[in-house]
Amino acid sequence: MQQVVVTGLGVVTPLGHGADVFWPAVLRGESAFAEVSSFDTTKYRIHRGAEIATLGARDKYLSEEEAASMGRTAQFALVAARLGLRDSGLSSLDPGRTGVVMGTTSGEPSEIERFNDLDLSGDLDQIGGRFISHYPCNHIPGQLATRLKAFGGGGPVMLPVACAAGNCAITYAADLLQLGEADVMLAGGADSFSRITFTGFAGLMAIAPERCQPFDLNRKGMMPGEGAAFLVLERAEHALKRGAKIYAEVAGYGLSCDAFHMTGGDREGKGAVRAMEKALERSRLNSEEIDYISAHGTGTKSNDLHETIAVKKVFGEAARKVPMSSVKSMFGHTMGAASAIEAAVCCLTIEHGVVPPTMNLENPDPECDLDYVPNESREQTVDVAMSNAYAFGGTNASLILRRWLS
Amino acid sequence: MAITGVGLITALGDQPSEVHRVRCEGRSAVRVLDFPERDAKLLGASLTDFDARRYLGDGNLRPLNHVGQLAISASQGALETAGVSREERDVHEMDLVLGTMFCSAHTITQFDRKAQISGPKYAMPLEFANTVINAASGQTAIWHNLRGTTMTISAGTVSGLRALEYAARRIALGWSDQFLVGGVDEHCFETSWAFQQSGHASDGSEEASVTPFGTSRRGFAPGEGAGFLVLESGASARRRGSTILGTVLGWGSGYCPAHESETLRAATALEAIATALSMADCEAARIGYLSCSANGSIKGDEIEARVLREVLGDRLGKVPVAVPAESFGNALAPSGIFQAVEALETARQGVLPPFYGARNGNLGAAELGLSPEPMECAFDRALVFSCGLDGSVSAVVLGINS
Repeated sequence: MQQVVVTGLGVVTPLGHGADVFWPAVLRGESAFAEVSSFDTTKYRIHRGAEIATLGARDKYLSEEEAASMGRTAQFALVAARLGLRDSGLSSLDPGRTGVVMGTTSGEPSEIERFNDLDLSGDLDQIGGRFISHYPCNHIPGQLATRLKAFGGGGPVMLPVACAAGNCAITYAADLLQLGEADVMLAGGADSFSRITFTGFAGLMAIAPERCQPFDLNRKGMMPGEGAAFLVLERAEHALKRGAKIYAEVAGYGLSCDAFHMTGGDREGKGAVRAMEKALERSRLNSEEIDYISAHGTGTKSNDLHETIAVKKVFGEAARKVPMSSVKSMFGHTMGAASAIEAAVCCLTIEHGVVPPTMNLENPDPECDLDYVPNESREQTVDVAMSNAYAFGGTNASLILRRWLS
Repeated sequence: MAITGVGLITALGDQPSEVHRVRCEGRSAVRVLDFPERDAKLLGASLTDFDARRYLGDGNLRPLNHVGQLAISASQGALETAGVSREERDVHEMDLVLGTMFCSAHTITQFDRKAQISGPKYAMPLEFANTVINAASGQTAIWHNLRGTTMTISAGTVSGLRALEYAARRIALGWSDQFLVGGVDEHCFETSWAFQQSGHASDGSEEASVTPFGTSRRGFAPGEGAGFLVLESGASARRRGSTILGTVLGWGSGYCPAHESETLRAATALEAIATALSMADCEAARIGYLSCSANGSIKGDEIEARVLREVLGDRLGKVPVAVPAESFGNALAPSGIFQAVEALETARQGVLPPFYGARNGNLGAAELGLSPEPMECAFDRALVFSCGLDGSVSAVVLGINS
């Protein structure tokens, strides 16, 4: 089977867009948390999140027509995909051999909100064709495929697997490339800030009032965010032939399900353990060979504890020696985009030899006693990185990226 | 790759043989559905007497919405027919992939609506869990203790076949040996209204206005349901001594944006079919049965008619062609699974359900040579094909007794 490599990274986050802007901000430990501006939070007990104020200078990656006709999530996705393609150096795509697969939690929830707003104001007759052309979440990868002329890999597909969706998309693309069903795949994830998601997490008492503090004793929850990331994946042979810069190889992945609870993780982390173990097995790696773990690290009491327990079970005594950090501490939980962004973080960690920090970790939780790289980035050679993602519905997805050795 | 279990919840029944019988009688579930609180009447094909307790007994149904109940009930049937016991699932990880177009637009809408009318604290966390698009697959995995891969795929109305393709690919790669594969979508006011307002669903006031391949067709009638298959590697099926209902021999998918011409879209569809046939090592001439997704869609049916003419050539009118959406409406994601199950059942019974539209002056149907009466048939290769609203197409070649 073909080896699969990462040759381009495109990110759109509340910390900035494009790896060249995003990565330095991550290493500086910047914070993107602010008062929510996209809707009125007066009726909520919490009021903060991490929104993208503007696509800013990256607007050149989105035409006026696209900005006017596409939903917010699709706009993020398209810009991230274009940034990824630019980074990959692919100047032209073979439409039949290039595909799009992505993940999301909610797609375009603003279309549901619009439906209700029209309904409650007695104007539902004005719904028109927009709901059907925008809300079904497969519309988003379809938009990307159409605008980027990337119809390969069996056509665009959406994997709405909530907060593990980005990793799931990467695994899907890797399968296609390994079997030779495509040469290049754009794999990523996207979600936009929405009142529905905010209401839901607020109801679960899962949103922190001020900031996100993964693994801290006083952590109070996650912070909702938004964004997108796309990785350009290629068959190694294809990438080498065109002399592409290779960030990393997709060494392997593991998928599992807790089959336990819709919104809460298995307390013993059994599903997370199986995902990590499968990823190691398929990568033909031992846990000692992992140099960095990008944690799911949402900042909720339960997630951080369960993830810590699971990592200890897989890594044993070595768990304390592996740096593990959560970039969600800086720009929140971007839902379906999160693990795609974190996969990009792993590639950049391998590329630059710097491990990003977990910010706002001031009072270590005695039960969370691993090396979370608190508050400052750390220079360290990373050859192999593992990225963990866990989702509503109990889905666990662990991805291993390895330095490419030609 | 062997299909060893099937499970259905459709508007025409829950047993493949029963549904096949009803289809052979030429009955349809498409009705004018009344939404009195909305002062609206919309065409649709909904389940009128679905009761999940009939399938799931005394289990706790409280966390489940309608879509979750449909998915779990249908998957229960698939697991039972495949003989995959709870004990076996406890020991051996089983994978799950579920196709869905909307999962539950109704639940999401109601969740937001409640928050808007009464305030956010009245939007219940239990309901929030069902607003995510992978809710039905998560609930299914929890109910059946499926601890392997739990994937949700959304590719519009071809989601069910894309799910089948996903499972088959992972089995081919050696990453899995046992998959529960399905599709689910629900009928609700929100999506039905939006389909009608967008011009995709028929705005007619009579059931007869939904006429697949009809020259005066005006759109489809939204349907609902869930369909599941158990797909196993040959080694797994042999090890378990499973009864093999059929095999998945090849698959192919493609995409041509919906705004493109019917000619281009039909060409993409034919390419997907060619890929599936090639993988199955099957000449088009060997296909003895073809199931299409035609449902009254103005553009989609035209594309499918072109595909039928091209694939069957001078065999048009001689090869059995099934059009199950004539009875189910456009059930969205599960449509492809319904088609696959009907293919297996038709092979088993040796009778093709009629295309009753041909009796009702459906000129398009007559031109395609679709049979107005049940027709005896025998075949060992079936092509199941689906054409989506967005330009996605998917094709699967099934083997019978092979």
